[in-house]
Amino acid sequence: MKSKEYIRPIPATWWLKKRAYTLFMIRELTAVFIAGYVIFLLCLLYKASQGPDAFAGFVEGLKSPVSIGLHLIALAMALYHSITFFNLAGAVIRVFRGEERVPPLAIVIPNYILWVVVSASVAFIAITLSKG
Amino acid sequence: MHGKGETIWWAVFAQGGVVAGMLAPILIVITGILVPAGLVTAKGLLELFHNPLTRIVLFVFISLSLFHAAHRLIFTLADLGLKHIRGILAVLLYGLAFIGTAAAVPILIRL
Repeated sequence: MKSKEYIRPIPATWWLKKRAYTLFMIRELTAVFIAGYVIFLLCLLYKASQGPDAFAGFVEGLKSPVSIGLHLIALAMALYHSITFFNLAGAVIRVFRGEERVPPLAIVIPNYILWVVVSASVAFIAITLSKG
Repeated sequence: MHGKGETIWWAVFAQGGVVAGMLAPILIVITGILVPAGLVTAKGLLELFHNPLTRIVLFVFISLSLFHAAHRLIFTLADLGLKHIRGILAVLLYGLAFIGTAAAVPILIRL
């Protein structure tokens, strides 16, 4: 007689049971916020392609408290994504020199350095082009 | 556990994670903080967007971030109990990522 394997039902709220699970779920949801920002960016770029007057109006709207508030939430999510992603890269990317594994920090730290360099460069260019 | 077609999606997801990780924060800072602060202006942004290299970078950021989010959302929804419609979710969400990518092209060309 064949017996059926018992699979314990898991509630959809499983991730609320432990802090580690909740942080994991938040990490996964950061991707949704980034996608949301991408959609905003597409709107921004669309307005930019419609000419300086249309664009100037849109940019003025970015100074509203609602816009700033939403941006700050998105920023928190984006930062959480960046930090968890770069930290994880050390565990996921395995580089071997001969028999020995290169220490994970040797993967992680260059990511952070590149992040700082890219961020500073982009901000510098945007600010410089806005002068005068 | 992993089918032979899944590796490409994971690779795109991984690259999307890197690109989004590197660029999303500073872009958000620019449109959300530097513009309200007056440090970045509409004129400056227009000049920045006009540059072809900027537009290529933006295209890569937009496309890969959408695929990264799609991939993550498919697995997250499966973890939340929607495992049985994973196939449909994949078509829907990767489809949206393709649509977003396609929508970016004419916009970026026009800039």
